[in-house]
Amino acid sequence: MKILKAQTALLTNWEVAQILKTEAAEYSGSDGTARERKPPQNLKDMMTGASLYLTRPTHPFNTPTSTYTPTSVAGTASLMARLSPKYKLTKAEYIMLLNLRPVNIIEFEMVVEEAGVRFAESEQWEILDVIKEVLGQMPEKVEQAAQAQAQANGH
Amino acid sequence: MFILTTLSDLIQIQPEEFGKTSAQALKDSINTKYANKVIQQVGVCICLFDLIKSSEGNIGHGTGIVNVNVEFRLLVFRPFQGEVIIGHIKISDPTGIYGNLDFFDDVYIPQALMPDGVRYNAAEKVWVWHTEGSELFYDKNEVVRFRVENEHWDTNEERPPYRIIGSMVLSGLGPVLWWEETREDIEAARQACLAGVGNGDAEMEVDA
Repeated sequence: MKILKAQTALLTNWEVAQILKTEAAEYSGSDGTARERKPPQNLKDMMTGASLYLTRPTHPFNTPTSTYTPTSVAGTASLMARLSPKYKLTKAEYIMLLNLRPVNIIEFEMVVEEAGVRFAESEQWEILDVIKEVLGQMPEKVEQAAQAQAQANGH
Repeated sequence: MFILTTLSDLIQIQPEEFGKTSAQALKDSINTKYANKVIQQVGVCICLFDLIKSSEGNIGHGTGIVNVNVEFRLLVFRPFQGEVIIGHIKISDPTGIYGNLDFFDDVYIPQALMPDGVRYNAAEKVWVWHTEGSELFYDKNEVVRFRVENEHWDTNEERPPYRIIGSMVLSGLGPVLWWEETREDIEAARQACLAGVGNGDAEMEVDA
């Protein structure tokens, strides 16, 4: 084995979720290409675990109101296409914005290093607005927040 | 969190695989060799992403095995340093918290990389963050965000080949539920900020 290039691309969780669905469809035969066959056991174990992880509702792209599509993730109407003319963000930061879809300043500062120094608070809100517009509104969290409160009190 | 890695390797196709098309036989053989395996300094292989090119097959003498030189890209799990990842708590012990991502469970968050004011509750086997008069629990199976701080590679087969050391110090990290805000609260914070900007301008005008 020879490693020609350790890292040729960075992929978002949403993209990987799509790849795993395509792979599973090929092995199960549900993609209609007549390539149905038994996957190697180690591949099956990995696909099962990775699919379980990526279909968890905790990932922002799995929420019912999300609008992750090939164009919003990588195309001409993508987050990067919308934000890069005005704001300087790294590739790694875009990956995290897409994977975690921050909704408030705390979450934004969590993924963007020195966010407070690099962007005025009003600019941070502008970026959050674009994220909401491109990737969809986060579902309302009232119920979950109430549950968390109850849980904290219960202990 | 996920990357593509380009490799070249001599891939063997067993005679019983000859019923498959070449692309499928190569794919299955590559996946058998790499899926769910760790390549040192590269990451955890998920599966084959695509085939780039392959040589003519050479049939091995006596075995009938076909040897093919293949260049291909693998889908690999390799978070970058500083990346924030969603996972859940597998178990806690007096030294720290062990995290899990369903397909990868060698994530460790030592006490030193948790917020000030955390204490281990030995009876309940849970870490608790004592802050502003309230107690917040790092419960088992709780969905958490952690930040990748370090990685450990190991070629000793008795130890995990690849471990991630994470932190939960920054605001927003730790159990996701702690940080959730209602749309109303978020909108209120946004309005407050915009109003603040407006006031700032007004003051400047007064100064001028």
